Amino acid sequence: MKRNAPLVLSFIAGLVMILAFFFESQTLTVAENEIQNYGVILAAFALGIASVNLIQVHARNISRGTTLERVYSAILIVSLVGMALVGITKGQNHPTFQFWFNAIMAPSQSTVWALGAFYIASAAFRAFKIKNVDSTVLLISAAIVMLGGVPIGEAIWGGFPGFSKWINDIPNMAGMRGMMIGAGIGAIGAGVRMLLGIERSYLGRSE
Amino acid sequence: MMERITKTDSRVIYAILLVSMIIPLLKPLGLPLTTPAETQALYDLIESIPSGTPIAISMDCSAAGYDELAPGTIAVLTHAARKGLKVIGISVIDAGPSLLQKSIEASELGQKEQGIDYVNLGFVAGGETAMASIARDIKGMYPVDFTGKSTSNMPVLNGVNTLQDVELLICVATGTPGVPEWIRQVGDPLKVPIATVVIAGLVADYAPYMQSKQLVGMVPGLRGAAGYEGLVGKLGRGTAGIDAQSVGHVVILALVVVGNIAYFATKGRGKGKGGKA
Repeated sequence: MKRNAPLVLSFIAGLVMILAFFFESQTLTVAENEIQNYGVILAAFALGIASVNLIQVHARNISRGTTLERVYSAILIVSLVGMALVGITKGQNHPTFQFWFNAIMAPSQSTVWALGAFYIASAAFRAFKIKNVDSTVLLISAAIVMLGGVPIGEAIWGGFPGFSKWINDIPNMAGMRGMMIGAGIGAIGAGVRMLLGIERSYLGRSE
Repeated sequence: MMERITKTDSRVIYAILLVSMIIPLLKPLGLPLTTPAETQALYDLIESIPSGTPIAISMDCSAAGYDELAPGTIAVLTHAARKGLKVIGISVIDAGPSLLQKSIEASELGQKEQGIDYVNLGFVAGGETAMASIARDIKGMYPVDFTGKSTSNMPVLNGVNTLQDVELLICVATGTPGVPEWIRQVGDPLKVPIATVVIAGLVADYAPYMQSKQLVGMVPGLRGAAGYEGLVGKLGRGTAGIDAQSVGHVVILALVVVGNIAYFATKGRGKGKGGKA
C-alpha cells in the first residue's frame, strides 16, 4: 500500500495532465486545474517541511558541532525564525523585514555571486592555455564573444560585435538546439518511466 | 621572471581586477554603445502598446543575480510607467516580490499609484506548476497582493483574470524557473508574447527562443540594460556597469595572454630536471 498508492496516484495525475494537453474536454480541464492547484499547495507545504528540516539539522549542529558550526547554525536559525515571524505577523512589506532583506540577505547573496568574477579571472589566468586545436578554438571564440559583448570591444575593432553575434547565432545556436532537443526527449523518457512506475527514486530511499 | 608570473598569487589577480573595475564605476568612460537588436525589439514593442493596457512582469530572479538585472528592470519599468501601461507584478521565486518592490521604487513606476497603475502580487510556490495556475486564474492565486490588500476589486486588475488578458509578459530571470517554463505554460499555449530581462550568462541558452520568435525581446545583462537606459533617456547603473564590465573583460583577456606567454616560455623547462612542467 505504502509503495503502490503513490505509484497509482502519480499514474492517474500524469495521465490526466497528458490527456488534458492533447484533448479538449471540460472534465479533463477541471481535473487538470485541480491537480495543478494541489501541486501549488503541496509546494507551499514542502517549503514548510524544508524549514523544519533545516532547523533540525542546525539544531543538531548547535548541540554537537564545533564552536564555529554552532555560531553559523545559530545565526541561520535566528535569521530564519526571525524573518519568518516578522513576515507572517507584520507582512513582507514591513520595514523590519525589508531591512533584513535589503541590508543583509540581498547584499550577502550579491557578494557571493560577484566573487565568481575573481575566481574566473584567476582560473582563466592559470588554466586557459593554448595546448591543442580545441583549446585554441575555445580561447579565440571566448575572446571574440567577450570583446563583442562590451562597448570597449567595439571601440577596439568594429568587427567584434558582428563576429560575436555570428558565434552566438550559428555554432552556439546549433549546439544549444541539439542539447534542448536531447533534454526534451530525455524528459519524455523520464516522464514515461515515472508514469509506468519504473522510475521510483521520487518515492524515497526505502523504495 | 616567467616562472614568477606563472606562480602569481591569486590575491594579486583579485586586486588587479578589483581596482580596474572600480575606476570606471567611479568615473565612467562613456564608451559609445550599440543597443542590441533584441533590446531594441522590446523597446519598440512596449512603445507600440496603447496606454492603459495591462502587461505582466514576473520577477523570477534571485537576490544574488539582482544587481545585474536591476538596471534593465528599472529601465523597462520606467518605460512602462511613461507609456501609462498597467503593470502586474508576479513571482515564482521567493525573493522576487521584495526585489520587484525595490525596482518599482527605483523606477518612475514608483511615483504612480499602487493598486491603480501597478500591483506587486507576490510569490507563489510551485515553480512551473504555479506558472500554469497563475496563467489560468490570477485573482484565484493571488487573493491579496504583496502588501496584504485584497485583489478582488483592485482597479489595476480590472478585466485581467488570466495571463491571456495581458499584452506582454516580461520574465526577469536568473535561472529556473524562468523563460523556458513561461514559454511552455503561457507563451506557446496562450499565445502571450514573452520578453526577458536576463543575466548575461543565460543569453546563449535563450538565444534559440529569440530566433524561433518564442521570445519577442531581450535585455541581456548590463549591455542590454545600458542600451535600454539610452533608449529611455535615463542613464543609470547599467551604463556605469557596462564600462566596468568592459574593463573587466579586457583585464581578464590580458591575464589570459600573459598566462599563455608565461606558459610557453616556461614549457619544458622542468621536464629535464624531473620537476613540474
